Amino acid sequence: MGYLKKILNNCNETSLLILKNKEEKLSFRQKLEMKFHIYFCKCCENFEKQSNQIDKSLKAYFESINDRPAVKVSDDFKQRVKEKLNQ
Amino acid sequence: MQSHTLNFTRWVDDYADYLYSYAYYKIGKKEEAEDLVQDTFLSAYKNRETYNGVASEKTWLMAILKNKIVDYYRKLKATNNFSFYLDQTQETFEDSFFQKDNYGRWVKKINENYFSNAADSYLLGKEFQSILGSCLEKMPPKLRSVFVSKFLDEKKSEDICKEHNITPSNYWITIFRSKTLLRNCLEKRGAIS
Repeated sequence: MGYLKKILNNCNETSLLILKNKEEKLSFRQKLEMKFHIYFCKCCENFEKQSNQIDKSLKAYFESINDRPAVKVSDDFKQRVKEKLNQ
Repeated sequence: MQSHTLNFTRWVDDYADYLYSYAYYKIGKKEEAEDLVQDTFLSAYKNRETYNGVASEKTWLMAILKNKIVDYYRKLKATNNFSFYLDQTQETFEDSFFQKDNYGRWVKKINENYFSNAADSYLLGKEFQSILGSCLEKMPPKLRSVFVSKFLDEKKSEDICKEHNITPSNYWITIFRSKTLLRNCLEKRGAIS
């Protein structure tokens, strides 16, 4: 029963596997344990759902850097670089 | 070729923010990102003869910056304390999110929340994007620079590990912690609004 209890309760490990599974092939055993856990765990099911939503949003966020940078340099900095270029 | 016509002053005005934005997320430190941007312009100026006008100015500058970032991480190799950092912060992270004495259950339940089933128009809209931006700002820079690489460059995890000189297992720990922290921040911010 110890094994089953562990699989059912290990959100820490499962949520890491959920992320890994998006990019890499998990072992058969890892995949089975992950699916089994998610089947009984609403929290990890929601974690996966929300993680996918966050990825979607992040993708757009970093694509938009192209048009409007998310963080900016100061005018002082620009001035300094220009002066260096003119030396 | 036409190097004498390249206007470097205008380049600084047009591209500094863009280059800095990339470098800032990639490196995580403001001063070092600024240094890299400055070096990029200086290198571009020095090598202006090699610019053939085929690639856009922005693309050309970006290629130079990316090389500088590779060098940056290569130099960091000798003093890379990333593993040490992860080890040191492990307990604090796990204690905040997982119940150690209960096989690692979430401390706080993850319920459906305001963005669980949100439509794309909301996720990509101004409000959510700005909350996302401020939550990214709050993340530990060390974690963030690895975490955002996938989105900045659409790189595979293998290449990101190589670039940042970290092991695959540390990569996944980083992705996992970052995602957990980010999710938590978004949830909190949503509860307020």
